[in-house]
Amino acid sequence: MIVLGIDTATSMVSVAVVNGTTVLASSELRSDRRHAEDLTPMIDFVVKRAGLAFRELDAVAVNVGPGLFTGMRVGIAAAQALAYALSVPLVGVDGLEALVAAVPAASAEHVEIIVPTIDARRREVAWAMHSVESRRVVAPQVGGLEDLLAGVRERGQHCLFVGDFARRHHDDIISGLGPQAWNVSFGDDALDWPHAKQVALIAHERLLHDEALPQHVPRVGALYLREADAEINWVTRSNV
Amino acid sequence: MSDFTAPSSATTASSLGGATTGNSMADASTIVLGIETSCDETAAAVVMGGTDVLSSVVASQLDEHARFGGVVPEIASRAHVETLPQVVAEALERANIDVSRVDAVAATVGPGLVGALLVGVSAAKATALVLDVPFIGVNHLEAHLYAALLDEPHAQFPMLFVLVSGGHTLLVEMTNHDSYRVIGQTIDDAAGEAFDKVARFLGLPYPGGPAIDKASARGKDTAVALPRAMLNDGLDVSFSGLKTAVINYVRANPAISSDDVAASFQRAVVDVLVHKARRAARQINAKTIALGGGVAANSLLRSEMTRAGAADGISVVLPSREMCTDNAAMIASAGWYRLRRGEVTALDAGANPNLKLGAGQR
Ligand SMILES: [Zn+2]
Repeated sequence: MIVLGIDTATSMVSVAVVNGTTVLASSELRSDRRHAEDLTPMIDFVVKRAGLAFRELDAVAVNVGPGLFTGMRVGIAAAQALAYALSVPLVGVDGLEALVAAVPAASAEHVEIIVPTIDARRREVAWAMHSVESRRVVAPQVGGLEDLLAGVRERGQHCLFVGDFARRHHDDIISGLGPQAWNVSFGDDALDWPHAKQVALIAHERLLHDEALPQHVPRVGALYLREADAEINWVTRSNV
Repeated sequence: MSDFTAPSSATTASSLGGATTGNSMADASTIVLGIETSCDETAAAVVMGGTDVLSSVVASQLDEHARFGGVVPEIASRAHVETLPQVVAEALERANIDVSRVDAVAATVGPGLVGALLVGVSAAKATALVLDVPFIGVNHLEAHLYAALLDEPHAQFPMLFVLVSGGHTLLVEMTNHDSYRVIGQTIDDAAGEAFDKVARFLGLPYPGGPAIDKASARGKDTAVALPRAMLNDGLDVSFSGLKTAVINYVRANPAISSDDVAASFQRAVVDVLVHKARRAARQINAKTIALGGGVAANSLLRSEMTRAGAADGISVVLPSREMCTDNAAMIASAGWYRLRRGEVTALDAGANPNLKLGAGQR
């Protein structure tokens, strides 16, 4: 089964095509505010470099967040349109789960819990907890660093932090955990961002197990984890 | 809506996908899928040959924003990404065509709310990519003009385009399809903004335009003497003083009927717009005056502009009321005219929230 994966939910935009568990082609780019500009040419490039025509894709997968609201919507809007135009299933993948899936077995030795983190802006972090068997034990949530550390303390298990938020706040996490800090470790910078490869691989796995029939109109929901700001911006209200 | 007839495939533009300008890539059988997500309407439409509207679907978010009295950008963006797939599917179904029959995809690239625009642009580019057809980025303001021309495609140039909406009040000289010059504009509030603010002050529901239109029908438009800011009779307009005059009058005369205030206010706005439009039309020797934007749905403006045109021997083109407010048929139509000139947009294009009329893009 050939799956196209899309990830625009963080500052790193990526696209990948997998055939079963094999990655055929992938590409990534640091793209702070140019997700919409970068994504379409990247899809074109990756699919063509994989030697495929679009009609050969069997499914489309997209990172639905958490992350940058505008970024994740760019990916979701594109993925929904692709799946509709191609009449193939669409799978939404939680970006925190994609981060966990990237952890190599060797890094997870002696680890009981993997804690993926994604910067949620406004000094907050989106996080979850997964067992090393990739079972989710704490659902995605957003909060201050203190909430995250409380969750880690409560577990009292050996935790591996991954994601760029944890790496940037390494010192705060260590000092915040105090005597419990010996019980945590940090992933390297290869585990800073979710990637479309994992998004596509997770989707493939899911499609094998759930008999996902193509929806008539493929749609996936974004994982915002936060209510919309109700700020009215009269200045930018430029239409009627 | 008209019956669907099959396009001759030889005329489609897919083989020319990489070009940015070139020979005509559109004809009477070319089918354009239009997408509009610039503000608080999620819309898709299928238009053949530039003016034959096969379908036009608009999902309004009005209810979601009404309790805030204005458009909330993050709420708008969330609603667009959730609603757009269904809106596009419905537009294609109502037009009775499969998505594979689409010859080009047009989407609003600006002006508007950036997060909202990017939803439509991303969906449109992805669709164009897999169908291997051109993507056309459309200027929302230009599209409002094509809403007026949907029923009058042979309206004559030079044309004065009067665009009056919640964000814009523009007098535009058009000498041809690709030639725009802004010759007058508001120096403060847009016409629709003035309607919204006065309506809010009078306790009328949001959006203000239709509410004032309705209240005016019950009121007396000579009840309150209000100023008409003519700004030394150039082509620019101003509505801020008028709004302040309304507020001051009502505060001094709290017993006044709000219907009378609404009618007097509406009459003042229309007087200014019609006066300036006539003046501008004379100046550019306009053969046609075309109206566009949400305020173009106002009954008094429509009747007074038509009367003025008849008196001056200028034909006045009015969009149907549903084509005044934001829709995607006008986007598809504007896209078709661009495609006919061979103007397609590269797939690495983004949105431009501050896009101006006649600037850039080409
Ligand atoms: Zn508009």
